Amino acid sequence: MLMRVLRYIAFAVAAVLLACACREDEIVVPTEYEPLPIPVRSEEDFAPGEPIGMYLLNEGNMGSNKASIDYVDFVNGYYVRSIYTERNSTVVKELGDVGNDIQVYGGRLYAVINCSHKVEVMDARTCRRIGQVDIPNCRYIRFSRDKAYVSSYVGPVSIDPDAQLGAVFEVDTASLSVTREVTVGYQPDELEVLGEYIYVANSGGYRLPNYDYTVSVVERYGMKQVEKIPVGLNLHRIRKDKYGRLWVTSRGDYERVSSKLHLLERKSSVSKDMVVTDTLDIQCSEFVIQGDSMYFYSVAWNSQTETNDVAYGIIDIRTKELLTRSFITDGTQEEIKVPYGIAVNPYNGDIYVTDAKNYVSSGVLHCYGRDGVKKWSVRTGDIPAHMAFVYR
Amino acid sequence: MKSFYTLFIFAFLSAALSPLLAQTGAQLDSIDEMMDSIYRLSDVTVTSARLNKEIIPPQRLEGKELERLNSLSVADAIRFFSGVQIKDYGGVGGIKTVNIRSMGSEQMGVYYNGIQLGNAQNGQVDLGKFSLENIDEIALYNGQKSNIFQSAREFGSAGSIYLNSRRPKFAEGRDLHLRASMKAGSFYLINPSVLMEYKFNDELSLSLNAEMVSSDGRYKFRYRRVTPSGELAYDTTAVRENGDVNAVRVEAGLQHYYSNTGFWKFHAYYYNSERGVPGAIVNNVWRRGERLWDRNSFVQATFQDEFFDRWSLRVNAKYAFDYTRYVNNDDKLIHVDNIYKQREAYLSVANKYSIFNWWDVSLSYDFQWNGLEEYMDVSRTSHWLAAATAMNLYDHVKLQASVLGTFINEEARERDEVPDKYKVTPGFFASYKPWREIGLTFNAFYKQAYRYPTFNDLYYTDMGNAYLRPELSVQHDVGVEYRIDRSAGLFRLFEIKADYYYNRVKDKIIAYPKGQQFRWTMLNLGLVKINGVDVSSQLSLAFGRDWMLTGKLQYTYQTAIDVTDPSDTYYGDQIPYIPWHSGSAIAMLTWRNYALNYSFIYVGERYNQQENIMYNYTQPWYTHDLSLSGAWRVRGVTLKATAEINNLLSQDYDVILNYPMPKRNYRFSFVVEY
Repeated sequence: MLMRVLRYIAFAVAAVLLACACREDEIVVPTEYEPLPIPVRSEEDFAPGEPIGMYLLNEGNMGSNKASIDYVDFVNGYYVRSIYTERNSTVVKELGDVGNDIQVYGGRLYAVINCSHKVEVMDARTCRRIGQVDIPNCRYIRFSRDKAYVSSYVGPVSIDPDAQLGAVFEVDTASLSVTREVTVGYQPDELEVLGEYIYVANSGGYRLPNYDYTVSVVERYGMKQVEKIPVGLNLHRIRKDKYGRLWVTSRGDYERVSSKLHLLERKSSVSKDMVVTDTLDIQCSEFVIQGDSMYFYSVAWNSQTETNDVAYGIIDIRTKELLTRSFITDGTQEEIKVPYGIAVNPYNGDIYVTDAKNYVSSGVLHCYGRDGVKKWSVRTGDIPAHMAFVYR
Repeated sequence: MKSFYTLFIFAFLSAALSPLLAQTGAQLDSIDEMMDSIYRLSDVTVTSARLNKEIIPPQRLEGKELERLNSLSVADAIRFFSGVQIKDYGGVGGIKTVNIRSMGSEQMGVYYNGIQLGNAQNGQVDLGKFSLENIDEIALYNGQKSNIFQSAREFGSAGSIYLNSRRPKFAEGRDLHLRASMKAGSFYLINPSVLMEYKFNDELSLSLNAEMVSSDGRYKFRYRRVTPSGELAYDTTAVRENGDVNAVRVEAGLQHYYSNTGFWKFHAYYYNSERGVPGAIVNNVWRRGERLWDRNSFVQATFQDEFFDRWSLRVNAKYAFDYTRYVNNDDKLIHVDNIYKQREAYLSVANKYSIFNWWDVSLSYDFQWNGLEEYMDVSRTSHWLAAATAMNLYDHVKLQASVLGTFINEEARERDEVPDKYKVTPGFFASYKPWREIGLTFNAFYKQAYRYPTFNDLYYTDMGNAYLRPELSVQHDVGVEYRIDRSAGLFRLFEIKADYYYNRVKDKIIAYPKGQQFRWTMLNLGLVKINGVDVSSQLSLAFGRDWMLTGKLQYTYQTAIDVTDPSDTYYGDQIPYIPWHSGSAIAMLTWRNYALNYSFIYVGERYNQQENIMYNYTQPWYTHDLSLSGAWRVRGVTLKATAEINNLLSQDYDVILNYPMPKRNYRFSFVVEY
């Protein structure tokens, strides 16, 4: 009896041992090529102003070290998931933790990796790493005259450790080193260079309920903050348009004060001073300006229904009129849970919207034609958010 | 002796045991008896709580077995139980939490000497903080302890871990028992402890125990990656920083066993620590600046007696104060300096009445007050009322049914009105033993348990949701156990247990994004179905001259599937960090006063996020630990020395993504006992 039992156990043990896998060599984060339903074209056929590809930065959840760069290859019709690790397999612990911005400038690709406290610099055509610039808690990057300007949540240590101001770092793109630094408002997010000034949207997001509400104006030559313009509660985006104006979004306090869209213009045609000339009562989380159209979406938590209220629209930036309540015309916006990034192809008007879903699983990149009809969708990394086009 | 090595290596592949079975083992006393005769210990106390009618016995580690496992904290020992998943953030000071059968750490009740350890703030008990130094027994119950004479709260957890501290033991004719130990090892671990037990008379005794743990927490870890074509991508070894810990623990107990049935006990506990929070290793970040200070203290008292032959009464009381300070000093991050103060007052009255000697009923009531201060100002009053009955029909059939009512009232000083919460949860336990002479038992249970939202779930800045409902887990379990226990012969003990279970966790509390910028809220969203099989077996053999071999094997297979919403990409996927396969094996070889212990732990492949895709894949890990110990007796003083090697093959592994675990490490301990 006992022998028989033992034999059964032996069999069971052997079966279990076979079922249990052993460790293998750990492989660097793998890269996947997925064909997209777009025509394969020769690179010579692309016009000079027509992007040959688009990089997509996936933020990845904090602590997961899963920031990643994907690439939409318009030439070969591929979606390349995690291109960075394929091109830079020797980088220890890959791209890093929480990607926050990606931009192309001067043939180079710059990725701001917030929780890895660095700006990763790559070749824009190959995605091969050139170097990195260490900037603590960096958020967004903009360029002007071979200099990069990077906003950061942490400036110099202040006397009151709980009231630490943010900063903007100036980086020389040739030497990839920080040249100068200027202290701005609390937790600065986006920034924009317009003429001789850098405009920085201060959020104060960690100072709830005492959010910041100002745009810092930094004089670029002397790298000095010259003014703080009161704009709106908890600022986030700031972009210039072709008329030399600045569009700024405020997040509000998520309760009583809702998100808004603010417009800054010069006081007069001879003045350098920017003032708020209009505040549109339109909730806006992210936008992109293409020609005279501003494509935007908003995500706002509705505590009654315990769901996110999502809205899309186009604004005519000349008249500040809301042209349409949806740039997606075929009803497929229902597929998007949490829109988290938007881009418009400047050549053919295709609209790209990313869906971050629940932030802890992979997202989706959707492509819509100029007419608002969906062309294709593809799975991305975790929290797809920021996009940048590359040209020939 | 030739076959000894074979036996050792293939202890668990019993096919290899067959040739041995023919041998006739020498008639020997068991090593435990021997050890006892060396220590010449005798219990003063008469009552034993374990004689109660437990319907489904727990998994248990106790006494010498516990001592021999290469374990520093309770969390290390619990890894050897089946059905348990442990989250270990690495190192001596790293957080270690457990969950049982994939139901989540907050569903676990951890009881220290019979009274639950609370953390109303986040619902999790860091078992890494509980040293094994003063623990005599760890027992793990699926569902609840199937003994009806218990406090109402004990009917409430989905799984329960009981930590029982040492009960004073005195050598014959002595009033004093002294013990001093020193452990030292890798990561500059220094862990001295002293124990004093004093007997005033046969009824009244006092015990004092103090311990210090200190470690710099610096250990080497390695990340090695290859490209898909097999070339080396990178191979880097670094040192874990900011993982230091300094902790002091002092405990005092006074116990009075005044009759065969009655006793009272008083226990005081104090723990003070400072530690670094090593944090995730991510690109460009190899060191973090978070610090944590913990001060946990509690006093608890128990009184128990039997009146009129039929009525048993137990009263428990406890007061606890926990202080936590969290500071983020990292100059790259926003400065944080938060203080949390938690207070808890608890009173429990349990009654058992024996209608007949085969039929008991019980009624118990518990009251608890929890308060959190400074960071959040909130308090909670909870009442539990439980009624239960147990029957023993001719020792063949044992039945138990219980029903628990929970009533929770909350007051949040900074937030809106909070709804009161109440729930009624039943539990049924049954076992059937067809033959009195054959150790074959069948058992089954059904149980509902609620996990109440923690203070963090409800009120954490900008994230809490005061309207959360409790999370419900429903457990179904059927099991069989076969056991042979002999006092002579080659085979001393053989035991095999198998359980199949099906659990459903409904209204699972999960963090759900509110929109941009990582703003989350807590919602009752999740639905998880868990199917699993736990198998465990134990075999003890006595052979040769004074040799004894004990083998233990544990294996768990489980699926824990997220079935919240079919439109999710992870619908039907295994939930994060739950391996399909996991198991452990222990082999203990003893010869006279020497013992060699080998243990193996295996945690199979799993995913670190909800989606089961290759980007979230986490490799299996398994470690081999070895220890050798010896005991000697010199003029009334017992000396014991142990050497341990952990992670023998120096595997580089993460239990939690980006939290690397130590490579091979060593520990030595020396104990003097009088």
